[in-house]
Amino acid sequence: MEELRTAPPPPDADALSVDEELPSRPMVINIGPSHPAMHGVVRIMAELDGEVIRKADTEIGFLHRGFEKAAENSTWIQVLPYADRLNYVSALMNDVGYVMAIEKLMGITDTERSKYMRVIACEIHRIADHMTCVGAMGLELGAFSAFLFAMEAREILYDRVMELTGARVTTSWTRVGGTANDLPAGWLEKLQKTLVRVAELREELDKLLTKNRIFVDRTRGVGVISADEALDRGFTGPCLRASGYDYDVRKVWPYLVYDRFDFVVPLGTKGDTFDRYLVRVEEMRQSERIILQAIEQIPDGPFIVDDWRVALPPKPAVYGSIEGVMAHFKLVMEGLKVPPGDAYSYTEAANGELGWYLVSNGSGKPYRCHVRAPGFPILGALERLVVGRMLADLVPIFDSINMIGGEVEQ
Amino acid sequence: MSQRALELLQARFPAEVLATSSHRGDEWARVRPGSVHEVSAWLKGEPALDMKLLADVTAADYLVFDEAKPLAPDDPERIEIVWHFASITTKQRLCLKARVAAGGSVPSVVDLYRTADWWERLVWDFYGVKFDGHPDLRRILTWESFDGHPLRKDYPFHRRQTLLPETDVKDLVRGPGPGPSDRHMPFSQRPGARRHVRSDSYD
Repeated sequence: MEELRTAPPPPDADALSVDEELPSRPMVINIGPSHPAMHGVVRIMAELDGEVIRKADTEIGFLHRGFEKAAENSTWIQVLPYADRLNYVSALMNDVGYVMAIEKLMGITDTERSKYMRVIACEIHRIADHMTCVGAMGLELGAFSAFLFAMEAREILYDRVMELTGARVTTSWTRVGGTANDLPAGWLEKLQKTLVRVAELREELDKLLTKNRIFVDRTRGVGVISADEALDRGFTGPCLRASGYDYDVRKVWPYLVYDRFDFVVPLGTKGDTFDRYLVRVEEMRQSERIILQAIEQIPDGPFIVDDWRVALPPKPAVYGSIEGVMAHFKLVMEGLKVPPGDAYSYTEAANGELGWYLVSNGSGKPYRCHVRAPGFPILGALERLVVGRMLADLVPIFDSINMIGGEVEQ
Repeated sequence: MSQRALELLQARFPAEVLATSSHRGDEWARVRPGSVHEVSAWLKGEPALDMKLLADVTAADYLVFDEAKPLAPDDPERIEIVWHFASITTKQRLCLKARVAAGGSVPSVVDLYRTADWWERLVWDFYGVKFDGHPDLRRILTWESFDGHPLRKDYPFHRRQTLLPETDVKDLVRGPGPGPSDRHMPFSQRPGARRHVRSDSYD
C-alpha cells in the first residue's frame, strides 16, 4: 500500500490535456417525468454543453386522462367535476369558466348575487394559486420557511372554500344559472378575518423572498422574454404581464361584475423570472382588494336563476309538486338541453386566459368540449426560456410559469 | 362585438370566405382550407385588426353531429379546424374555421404564430389532420406508436391500447446496445409470456 501511495504518476499523465481526456460531446440528461422539481409529470430531455442547456425537448402526456373524450360522453353538468380537476389548485376558476361557457351558448345569465359570489370564489382561488406558485418557487430555491407561510395562507383559504362548497380541492360548486348553494351564514365575516391573516402571511412571504439575496440572484435576469415574443408564443396571464404587456381579460373584456371594482393590473418590466414572481405577489394584493369590495357590494337575492329548464328546482318543490319532480327528473336523466351551436368563452384564470370552446348539437351532451389551458402554450415555450441558461436555472424558470399538469395534459 | 373585423375580412377575401356568423358575441368566418395561412397573415398584419394573439387552435369532428344523418367517414367536410384570434389593442376577437376530410391537411401558421406549434401537434394527435409546413409534427399527448386519433367520433370511447413492448434504446454516448433482451422487459411482455389480454377483445 505504501508503495502505491508514494508511486510517481504515470509518465504520460501530464502530457494529456484536460480537453483531450474528457469527452466534449453534448450530454443528454433526462429530467422527469418523476422528479420533485417537475411538479407532476413533465419530462424534459435537456442537451447539455457543460452545464449550459443547448436544447430542451419537453414531453408531456404522462397525466393525460382523456378529459375531452370523457366530456363528450357525459351530460353537460357531469363534466363539471372533471373541469375542476383540470387545475386542482384553482378549481373554482375552472368551474366558473366552464359554466359561463354553457351560459354563453344558451344565452342566459346568472343572478346578480351569484355573480358576486363567483367573483369572490375566483379571487380566493387566485390568491391560493399564486400562494402555491410563489411558495413552491421559494421551496425549490431553498427557502423552506417561505413555503410554510404560503401553505398556511392556502390552508386557511381552503378552510373557507370548504365551508362554502363542502370540498377543499374538488369543489364542483357552480351551476348553470348560479351556484350550488348560498353563502353560509356569517361566512363573509369569517372570510374578512381570514384575509387579514392572509395579508400578514403574504407580507411576511414578500419580506422573506423579495429582498432575499439568494432568491434574487437565482431569479433576476433569468428566463427573460420580451412582450412581443411572449404574445407571439401565446403567453397570457401573469407571465405575459411580467413582460410588460397589459392584457388581463378582467379589464379588456370584463365578465361577471369585474367592471365594478377598483383594481389595478400589475405589470413587469423585464419579463424575467423575478418579474413573474413580483407580478404574482402584487396580484394577490389586488385580489384581496376585489374581495373586500365585493363583500361590500354583494346584493341579497337568489343565488340561482328560477328557471327549472336549466336549474334544479328547490327541494320542497321536488317533494311537493309534480312539476318539480318532472323538472328534476328531466334535468338529471336527460341533462340540459343546450341549443345547437358553438361558443368560445374566456375568463382570466390564475395562469392566464382559460378558454372553453363548446359545440352542442342539441342533445344532452357536449358534442365537443375543448379547454384552452393557459399553461399549455407557456409550457410549449419552455425551451425558448431555458436554452442558453445553466441547468440550475431550469428550476426557477419552470416554477415561475406555474405549469399545472392537470390542465395542460387534459 | 367584432362585426367590423368580419366585414373587413369579407371585403379583403371575398372568394375565400365561405360563410360567416355572429352569434352570442362570437364572430366566426369559414374559409377555404388552402387560404388559412394567407388570411392569418393578413389578420396579424392589418393595422385595423392587429390580431397578434392566437389564443387557441382546436378542431371538432362533425361525423355524427346530426345523429339522424351521419356523414360518410370520408366526407370532405368532416373535420372542422378552429383558430381563435384576439387583438388586445383593438379589443376584437375573430374565429376562423376550415373544414377538411379526416386525414386532410391545412397550412400551418407556425411561421406567423409560434404558439401554433403545440396546438397543431395537439390537433394532429387527436384528429389526424396534417399541418403543411409544421417543422415537427409529432404526437404530443399520446405516444408515437398510438393507433388512431382518439377524439374522432368513430374512435370507440372504451378502447384501450397497451403501450408497446420496450424497444432497444440507442445509447447516445456508447452507441447501440446489445439488442433487446428478455431480462429488461416486464414479464407480461417477454416473448414467451402468456397474454392476459386478447387483442381482439380490447373493446
